[in-house]
Amino acid sequence: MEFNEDAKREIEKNLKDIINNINLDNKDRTDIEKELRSTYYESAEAAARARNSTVVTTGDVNTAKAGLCTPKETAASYMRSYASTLSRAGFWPRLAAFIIDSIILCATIFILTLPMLVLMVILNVPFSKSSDYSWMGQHNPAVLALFFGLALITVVSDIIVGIGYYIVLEGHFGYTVGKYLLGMRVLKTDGTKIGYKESFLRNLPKYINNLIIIDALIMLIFFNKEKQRGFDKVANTMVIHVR
Amino acid sequence: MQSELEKWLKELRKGSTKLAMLSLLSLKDMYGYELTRELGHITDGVITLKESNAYPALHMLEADGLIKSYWKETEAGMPPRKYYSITVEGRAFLDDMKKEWTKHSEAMENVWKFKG
Repeated sequence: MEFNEDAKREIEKNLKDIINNINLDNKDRTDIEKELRSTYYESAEAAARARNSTVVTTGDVNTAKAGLCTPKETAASYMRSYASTLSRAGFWPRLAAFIIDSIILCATIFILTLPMLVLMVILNVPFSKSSDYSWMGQHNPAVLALFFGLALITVVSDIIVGIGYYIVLEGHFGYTVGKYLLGMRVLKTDGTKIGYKESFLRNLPKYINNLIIIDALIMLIFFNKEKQRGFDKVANTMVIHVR
Repeated sequence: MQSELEKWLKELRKGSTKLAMLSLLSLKDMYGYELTRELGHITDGVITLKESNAYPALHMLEADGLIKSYWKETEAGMPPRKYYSITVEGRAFLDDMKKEWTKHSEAMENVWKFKG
């Protein structure tokens, strides 16, 4: 039986869709990928044979695909079977990731704010005495409009980045930059991917005063075995090592 | 009502999947796709396993030491297959499961026959 190149590409595309949602170490991922590749090939070959062809085409792959589960379902099902064996990340690696993320977040906010700071220097805006409006008289309205426009954009983008960093990154990818660099992922406790809802819930304490410190203490004192913060418990999430 | 029945069937299948898979593997080593295809074939589609359920279930059986796996090259142009074989522990477990299954279905027979 021969597979045409398009068919092979289609199979690899499907495999990639599945594997991208498998949060395991490389050995397990490779194993799963190989086993599924074999399944796709066998199944597509059977489809080609059923229509008396000796060449497997994209159409056969699609027929095979229809008989198999969606990539998402397949990945979720695999992850559920691994859920209890995943290695959960504890306090120290998570603190390290948090520090990396905090540095990145500060740097990003600083870069976003920089144009406004430069403009403040150029326009002689006082940095400390906010009640001193004398600088306004030195500039024409167009310049002032530009300044306040930029200030608004800066404040809004800072807020979006500040609030969005954890919620959006974890909600969309399942990790932040810090967690990615240290080989960690946030998953639901059943092993499947988290969504925005879980991400929002588990990250709430990071935005409320110093609640994150209390929440981390709750993990150390009450949920040290499960390695979950209080808000991980609420969101039904866990942080795992993928390598 | 239909969905209630489906929910119940899902639970019922969950329990029998492990037994059916071990039972087939006790006859010969099989690869995942073969196992799901054979199962559907033998049972006329009553027990159909999708690969997304079968492979994770196989993984769990392997993690429990009831089966082992190995890779085997096949015909040219086809990727290698992952074969599963039952272990000694798996056979013993299968025997126990079968006994319990028979006991359970006999007990259910008695429930059907019961006239009050």
